[in-house]
Amino acid sequence: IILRVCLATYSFDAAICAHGQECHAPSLADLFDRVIQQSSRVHGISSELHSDYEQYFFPSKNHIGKRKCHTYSILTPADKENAQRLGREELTEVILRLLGAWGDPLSQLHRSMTQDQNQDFNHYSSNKALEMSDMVHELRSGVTKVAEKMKLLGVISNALGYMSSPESLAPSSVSSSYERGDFNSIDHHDLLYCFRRDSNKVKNYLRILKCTTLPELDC
Amino acid sequence: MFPAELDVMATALSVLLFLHIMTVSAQESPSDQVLPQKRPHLTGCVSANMETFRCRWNAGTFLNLSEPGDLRLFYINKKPTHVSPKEWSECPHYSTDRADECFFNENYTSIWTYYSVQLRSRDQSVLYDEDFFHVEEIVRPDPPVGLNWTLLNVSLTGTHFDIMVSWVPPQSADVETGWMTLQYEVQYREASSALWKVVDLQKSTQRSLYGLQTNVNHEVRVRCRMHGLKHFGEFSNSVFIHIPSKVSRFPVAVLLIFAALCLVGILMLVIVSQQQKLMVILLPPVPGPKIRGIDPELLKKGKLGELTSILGGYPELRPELYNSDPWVEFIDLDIEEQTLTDLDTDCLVDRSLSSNCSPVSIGFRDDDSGRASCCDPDLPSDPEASPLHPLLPNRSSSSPDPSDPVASDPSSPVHSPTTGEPPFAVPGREDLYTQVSEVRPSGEVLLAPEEQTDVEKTTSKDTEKETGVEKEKENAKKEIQLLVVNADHGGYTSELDAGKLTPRMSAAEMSESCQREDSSSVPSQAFVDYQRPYLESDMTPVSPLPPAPVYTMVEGVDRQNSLLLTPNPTPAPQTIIQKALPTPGGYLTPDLLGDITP
Repeated sequence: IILRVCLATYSFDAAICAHGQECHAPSLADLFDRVIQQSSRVHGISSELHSDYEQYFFPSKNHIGKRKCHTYSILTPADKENAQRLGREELTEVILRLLGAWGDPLSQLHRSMTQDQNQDFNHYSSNKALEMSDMVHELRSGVTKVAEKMKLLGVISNALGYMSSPESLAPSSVSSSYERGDFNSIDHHDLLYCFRRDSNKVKNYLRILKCTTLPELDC
Repeated sequence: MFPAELDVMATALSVLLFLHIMTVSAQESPSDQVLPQKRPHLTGCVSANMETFRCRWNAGTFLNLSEPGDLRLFYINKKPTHVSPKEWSECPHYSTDRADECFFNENYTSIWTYYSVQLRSRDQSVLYDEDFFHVEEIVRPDPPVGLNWTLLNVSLTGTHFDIMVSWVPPQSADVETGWMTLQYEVQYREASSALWKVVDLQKSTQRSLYGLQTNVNHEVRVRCRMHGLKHFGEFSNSVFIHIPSKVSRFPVAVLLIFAALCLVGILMLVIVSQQQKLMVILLPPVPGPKIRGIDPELLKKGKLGELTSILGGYPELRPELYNSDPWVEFIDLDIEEQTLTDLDTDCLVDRSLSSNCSPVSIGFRDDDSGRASCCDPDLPSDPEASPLHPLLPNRSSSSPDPSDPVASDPSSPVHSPTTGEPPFAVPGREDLYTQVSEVRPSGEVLLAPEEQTDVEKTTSKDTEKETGVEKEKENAKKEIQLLVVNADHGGYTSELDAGKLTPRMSAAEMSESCQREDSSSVPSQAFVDYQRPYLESDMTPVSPLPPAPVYTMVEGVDRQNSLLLTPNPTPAPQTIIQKALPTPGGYLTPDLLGDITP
């Protein structure tokens, strides 16, 4: 787990040079690959954590969506057509919005899990929550760099206003609902459910973005 | 008695029968009612392309539900943006090509939203089953298509081959836009085997398989799954591969076996014929332990005590060590330029030839390497070993002094110089060092006064009694005798001689003096003390005893046949004898032996 945290903290635009080769700045394809790998890992951890929670606390799957995820206000394409109809710029924007909305809640989740020492499960899973939180931060900066690179290459236009202040994307109600601070297991479960879904969205949107921008590679 | 038992038995039997019937009926009834007891249930909702999905159910064993429409599917799809519908909707499309299936097309499918599905009866009064899911979690792709293989190469022996297998992702999965990312798993087996070999997951659409056997039917298949999910889709159709081998393996194997057998046969022949030589080469004989002069039996285990006693004991009592083959050859004579040739020997022997003779300086290396013991009797017998030996006949024959009377004196118990007899043969092995007190210019060597006096005493007592020779004469005689004695014994008197001369000497003193220890100055002093009265009374002015015994080496013989002594006696021999027997663990090695017996 510690190793994974270390891996997560590497910079996205750091040049990875093979032995004997000249060092170049990473290309857009490299950046995309790294970002997509990172998003896969994030989604994997969130799935694990969520299913662990379900097994541990809620053996029955009888939950009829009472919860309401705080990112509901972010409009996301719900199927392929809508996703394809969305341009690259908007898709990038959606991705960044989602990632920005989850930074704080994940940190709060981790804090809550470490403080709740009663449950052995929390004690074991708090490391995963921390890892997730860090990786999401890294992913966000990575996607920002991808967007910058795309702008540089002229792939996307400069008509993006969110780049200046990503923090403002998250609706104000987001943080308010989590500021109360007394999380319990149900809150944890809801949070994980929501994040699992959103991380899957991010993963898929990134893949779509890559294959529409650079169609010749692995698509 | 009988009837009672019969009754008991009958009742028991009837009870048993009844139980048996009951169990049989009980067993039968579940088997009859297995199907009817199973309720209608959903077998699963699956999406192949993440754009549509299907839900399937099983009617169970209810016989009255075989009609279409008896079972109905309702769902709720909660989209976060829309208001959550409180009502359930029925299946948008019941499949026509397949019974018990509901198909949701793109219009009704939304990803990352919450679906709830229920299986109800026709009148919706009975809820048979329900399920909850997100579409992105139920994706199971269709099997890959277009599985094909190409031959890469065949091994040299024609027994194995390599192939490259390739396929195409399913049509339904939209991989080009990146909407779906697939992982593939290839499996292969020999047609006769029931176990599939599984290759690691991969993203690419081709795979090479190595080391497949020829002349065997092989089967290969592939399946895929969505990246990040657990469940695989169905397997593709298998492809069969069969490569016949070209070369027949039979003769090759036979040839190899034959060659191996021949080789083994040749090897055996060589070994058998050259057995002796091989044994010597492989297992060279190990030489046994051997110390000259010692029976190898003593070197065996358990006899070390005897060995150490022999080696460490009194040198005179070591007859075993002094066989016919003595240590003479080990004497390291450092004769540099001039070896003792016959000419030199003649020079030594005959004084008349002295004009041609140059003083032979024969340097003795005074180290103890190979030096025989002081009591080695054979040393004088070797002409090369000691140039003094030729003096024996010389002295005896050409002594100008009145040694003739002595020589002709038959009653001398000890000295019979001319004949060269036992006197130095018998006591030969027990030779002893003695001190040279003075060398007269005439070439006479005076030995230690005590022996001198002893000699004088005994000879005077025993032999000269009737003659009543004057003291001078006695002294001269003694001197001569001493000379003779010296000549006889190469400058040394034997211990036994001393013993005979002085029967009063104790054995301990004898042994001590032979070993030449400095500490034996006590017994020698005893000698001196003992003999002193005689000294004073009888002896002519003789140089006083040196306080400590000084040994020196006879360096050579000069023209006048006088002994040349080394001026500085080396203390080495003493120290050597002083050396304690090094017996680590009581065992004596041949090299240590040299140290003990100088």
